[in-house]
Amino acid sequence: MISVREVLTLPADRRVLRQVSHLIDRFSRVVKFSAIETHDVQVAVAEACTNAIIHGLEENSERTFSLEVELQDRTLVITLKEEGKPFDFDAIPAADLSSSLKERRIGGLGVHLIFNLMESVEYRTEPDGSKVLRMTKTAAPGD
Amino acid sequence: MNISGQVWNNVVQINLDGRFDAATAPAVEQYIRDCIGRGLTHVVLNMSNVQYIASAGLRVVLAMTKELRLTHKGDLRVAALPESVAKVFELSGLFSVIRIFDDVSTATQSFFG
Repeated sequence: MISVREVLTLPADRRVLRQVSHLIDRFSRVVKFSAIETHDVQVAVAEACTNAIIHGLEENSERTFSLEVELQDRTLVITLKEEGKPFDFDAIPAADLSSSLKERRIGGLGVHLIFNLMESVEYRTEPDGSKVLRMTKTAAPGD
Repeated sequence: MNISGQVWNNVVQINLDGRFDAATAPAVEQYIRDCIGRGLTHVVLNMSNVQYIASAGLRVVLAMTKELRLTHKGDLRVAALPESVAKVFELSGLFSVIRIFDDVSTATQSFFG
């Protein structure tokens, strides 16, 4: 089994999304994700990082969060850890996917995308209050 | 993200090139707002070179379409979605409220139909 791992410590600044996207792109090439699979992971990880940056750490660029990307054979495992404001995934209202344009609520799409683009998503709060989000996606078998 | 625009017969075609996420979405929104401020309320968003779209980008597309259609009697029409980006539009339920076209030319012509 091949295992490759990289950990980034990133400031709570939206500009890091570019760096994160490049990191996912690099790992996706190794695991041989299709273009759509790569996009799925980039979007899910961007959503998770955006939540940490904006909601958890309130865009205070002196604060940081960690992003670990690990390749376990054909599975990409991404773990985001931050120690900002408490956040309850279960309390997020379901995304509005069907109302008319006039009635459509704009919000909740980020969490909706994370859960629908990744294969598994686990969320926990550690005893020290830090929040950990773990997501995985496995590449389809190659030829 | 590079943003460029061209106006043809009062329809503004806005070309997006790069990542459409929380870091770049405010610039796209501002660009569209500037167009509205100039009286350009028929907007075609050319997404052919968008590498990925996150919810911040979807929010701008939804919010600007809402504002253009409901307040200014205009519209925002999306063109040339890459397959991966189209998947995110579909998952987010945008196909039922946003007019989406295969290419920029058809999207532009739709304003004269």
